[in-house]
Amino acid sequence: MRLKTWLRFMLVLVAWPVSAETLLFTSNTPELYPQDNGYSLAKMANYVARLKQQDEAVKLLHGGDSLSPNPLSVYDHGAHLVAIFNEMSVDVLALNRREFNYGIDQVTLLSGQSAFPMVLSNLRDKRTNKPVAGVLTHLLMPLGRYRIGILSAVSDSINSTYLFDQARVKQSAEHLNGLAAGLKSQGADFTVLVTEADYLEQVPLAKLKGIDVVLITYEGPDTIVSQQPLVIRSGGIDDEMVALDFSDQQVSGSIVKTADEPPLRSLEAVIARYTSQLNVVLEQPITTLSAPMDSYRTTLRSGESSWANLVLDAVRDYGHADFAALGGGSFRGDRSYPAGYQLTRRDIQKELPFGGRIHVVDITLSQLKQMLEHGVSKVAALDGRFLQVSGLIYHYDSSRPVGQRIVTLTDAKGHPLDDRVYRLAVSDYMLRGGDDYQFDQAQAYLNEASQQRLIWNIVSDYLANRPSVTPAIEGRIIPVSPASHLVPSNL
Amino acid sequence: MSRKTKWFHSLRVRISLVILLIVLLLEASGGLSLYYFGALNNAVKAQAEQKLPTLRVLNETQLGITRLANLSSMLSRSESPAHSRILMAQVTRQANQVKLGLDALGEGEQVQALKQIVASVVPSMARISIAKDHLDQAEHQLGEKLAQAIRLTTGAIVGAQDKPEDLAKLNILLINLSQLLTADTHYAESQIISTIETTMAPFAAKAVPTHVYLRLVILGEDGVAGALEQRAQYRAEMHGLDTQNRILLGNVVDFGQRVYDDMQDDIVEQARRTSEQATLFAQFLVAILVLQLIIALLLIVFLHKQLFKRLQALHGLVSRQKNITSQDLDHFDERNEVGALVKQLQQYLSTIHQQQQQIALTSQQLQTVIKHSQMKVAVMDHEHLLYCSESLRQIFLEHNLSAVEDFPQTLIEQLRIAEAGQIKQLPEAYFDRLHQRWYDITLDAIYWNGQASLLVSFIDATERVQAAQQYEKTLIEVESEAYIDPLTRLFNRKMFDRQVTLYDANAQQPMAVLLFDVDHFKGYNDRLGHLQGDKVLQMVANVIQRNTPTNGLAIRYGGEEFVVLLPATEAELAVNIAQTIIEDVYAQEVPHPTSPHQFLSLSCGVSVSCDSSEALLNIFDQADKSLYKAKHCGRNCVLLNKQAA
Repeated sequence: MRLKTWLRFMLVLVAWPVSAETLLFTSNTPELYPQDNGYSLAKMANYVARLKQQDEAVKLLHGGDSLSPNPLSVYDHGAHLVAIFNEMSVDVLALNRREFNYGIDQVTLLSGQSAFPMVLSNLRDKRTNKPVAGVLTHLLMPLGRYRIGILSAVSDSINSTYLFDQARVKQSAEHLNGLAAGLKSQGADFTVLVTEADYLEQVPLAKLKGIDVVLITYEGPDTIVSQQPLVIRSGGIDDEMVALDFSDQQVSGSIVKTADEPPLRSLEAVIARYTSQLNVVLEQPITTLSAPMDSYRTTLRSGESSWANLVLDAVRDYGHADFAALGGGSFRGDRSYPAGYQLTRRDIQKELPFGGRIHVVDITLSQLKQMLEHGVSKVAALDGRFLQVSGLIYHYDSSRPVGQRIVTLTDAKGHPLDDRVYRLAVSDYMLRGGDDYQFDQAQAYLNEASQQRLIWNIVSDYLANRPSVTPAIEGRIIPVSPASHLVPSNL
Repeated sequence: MSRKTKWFHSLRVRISLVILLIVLLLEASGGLSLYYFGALNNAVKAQAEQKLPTLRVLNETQLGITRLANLSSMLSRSESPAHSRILMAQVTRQANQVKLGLDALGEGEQVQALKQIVASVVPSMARISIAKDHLDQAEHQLGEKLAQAIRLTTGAIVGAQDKPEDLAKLNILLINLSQLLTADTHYAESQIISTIETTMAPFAAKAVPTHVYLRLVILGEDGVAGALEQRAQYRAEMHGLDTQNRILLGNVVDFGQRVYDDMQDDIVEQARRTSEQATLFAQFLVAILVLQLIIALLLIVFLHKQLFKRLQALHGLVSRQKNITSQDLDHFDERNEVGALVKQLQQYLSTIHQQQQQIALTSQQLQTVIKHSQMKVAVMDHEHLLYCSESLRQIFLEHNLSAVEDFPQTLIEQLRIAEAGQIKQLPEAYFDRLHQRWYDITLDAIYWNGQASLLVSFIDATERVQAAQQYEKTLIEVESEAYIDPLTRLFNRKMFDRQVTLYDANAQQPMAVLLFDVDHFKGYNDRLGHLQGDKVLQMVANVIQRNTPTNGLAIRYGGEEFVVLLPATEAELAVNIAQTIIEDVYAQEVPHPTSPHQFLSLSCGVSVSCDSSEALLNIFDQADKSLYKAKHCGRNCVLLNKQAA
């Protein structure tokens, strides 16, 4: 594997045209620590630095979705990643949805600390009806012989995931086409759009004019989706980056690996500045797994997860609630754990990087059903709203129309639920309206559980009280339609 | 029926056992209550004395941790090194206090972890303090470098008045430098520096010493760019430490919260346990109460079935049936007291029944005897005449006896009284006028034709009554003879004495006393002999007797003296009576040889009492004195006592 990667890297190096102008790209890199799959910010940084030393016409465009979720961001709201990106010599940051996890103003604040410009083309602050303060709507960036126009667009779903109706998001081809035309008129040789799959579902590629490259931020293997126009999916916690090579009248893309780069010491030092003292907290052993488990995205967003079962039980226990529900999107580990693995606080934080708090609400049976219906409404797209539960068993049929997918709903013992008011523990994110969940304001919120404790601490405590835990699939969530129906629509 | 009797068949034993059980349950519930309240008291005491002080320490520790977090925040924004040092001193103090609080909380796993994290907070904050110091210095350095650069640029502008190309660039440079003063973002600063680099690129080639120096001051490592870089580095370092510190403090706060929560959960759990125990206890008490109620109800049912109902049945048997059959016995369990009683009663009733039959037979025989005897008897109940013998009917021939009412009314009344008073014999004998016979009447309770009745027997008592009457009569006669003078048949002196006593005792009316004396009786006697004298005395007595009113008493006082006592008689009438007697005697014309009056005569003294209180002897004495006077007045006359007149 290592040899193979190395050979590939050598090939890339060999294939590198020395005189070409290169724009490097990645996205979805909120993880500070190196991973087994070769992911390492320091290695990426070294790669970038090395190229920049070799040839001045190299710049790094970061596609965002990185200032959160990250355990440190819970405390500094992404400031550490800005410092890291500064050290990585990011040349431009295309803002994405997750950058807004702590609100519009936090982005403005961070823009003052960054040594690079931030770009977001289609979002306006509803309060001012202006683009986010400190953020550019477009950028004309010199790159060697060329000038590259940079655009960035997010999907309107940001209003249901992070900004809760605080933003006005334009989702029209005309808008982007206009900006692209403007850049061209200012002398842009090429125009690059950074966006996400959700946006392209609303604004089809075919309607975009004057854009030479579309870079789709993505958690997963980097892929060149099409050459004409050049569409590339890139990002995630891995060792891949995309290199765009510009030449006269032409731009080409390739995927490069950074696993075998030596780490950039200065970046390691920056990361250490943020993490050197944290081992006393993060290395605390929590419990030992008696059985294997995984936190794969696909599982968490379409069916029952043994890991989520543990987490939800902890949440329900903490809230002294009848039921607990958390969106599959709250889980970010996307990995497997063997039996005998000793979970540490670091693992828990990595799995539940949003922090978040627990609230307990009163909910009627019909509201509960409505909530579960909402949870499975976008299961085909593996949306983060898919609910992991405790205290409940539900069967859903994703082949049925939205709103009629919950087939059966019982308590944990399989008894039908009475038509009464129950206590439900949910995250503050869901309560605020995240993932379009709606909790009627008229409901009496029982706030005693809503203290200052973060969900990862709640879960850590719950697990730490047990010398070992046995993650298990208990039949809480049962899809009754064929599994083949669940195909993520990645574009 | 031959079932064996065991101790537990006894109702007494069973009822006692049940009551004992109820009492035991009451005792148990009472004891349990005492125990429970004791335990509750201990739990509450433990909460108050141990848990709550711990909670207070925890609270204070939490507060200390919060203060520490606040100090950390202030430290990263301190205005001067001195301020930083003051804040650091406070941090150390506060951290020590938190440590002390944690020490007081004991050796729990969570507490140890918390201590470890708290221990790392102070060095972390010290690093922040140092980083802040560096940052402040870098800021200062940058300011100085910028000022120097502006000064030098201004000087260069003055020196380059004759070189328009240089002048233009230097002016742009001055603008760039002033932009740096107001740049508020890192990106803006780096943009300006790169602009400056472009602007100053020609200066490096021309090798003008001033320009080379200026370039060094602005873009060199020790210049503005270097200072900017330095500041960015310290700022980043500052941020890194601040973020870490926030995380550490966040964890300290969270750990503190967890320790607090654990303690709170512990207390809540204890309260819940206490509450559960209370609920359990209440349920237990309710169960005991219900059990007691059930046992009491069962006891009532048992008593009802085994005792009250049986007793009622027994009452029915005894009162209505007056007999207990073997079949009846089957309804009772002879192994317990009621059964045994019924069995005993059956034997008694059987005996009574036999005796009743015996009595009935005897009554029958008696009836026959009565009917065939000559006894004068009747049998009656309260109203009806059940039987009347022929011989009795003979007594009441005039009444034609057929009912009780047919008896003479007085007899009926007496019979009623006797019957009511259960008197065996009427007090008076009944007199049959028709046959001139006396009867004693006896009453006896008998059974007549099986019915309680009264046997009224008339027993001939004629002989006894007559004998009694004869005796009475004889007795009276003897008594009378004692007061009669045998010669004259008048009352004697004894009667006078009795009258004196009676009068003195019961004086109610005036009394007239007439005292007579035969004149010259001694001479008469001497001449004509005592026998003739006796005859004369008899004649005088007859006269006196004849003329004495029925309410008066004629008494021979002694010898030839007579007294007549006339109650309620006026003096005039008394004198008249006395005069009549004297005249009557004289009219007999009994010759008296020695009397000047030729015939036998009497003298009389009369006295009448003035009031009822006067003693009879006094009146008598007055009459005697009047008699004496009458003798002196020639005799054959009456003299009334003056006082009386």
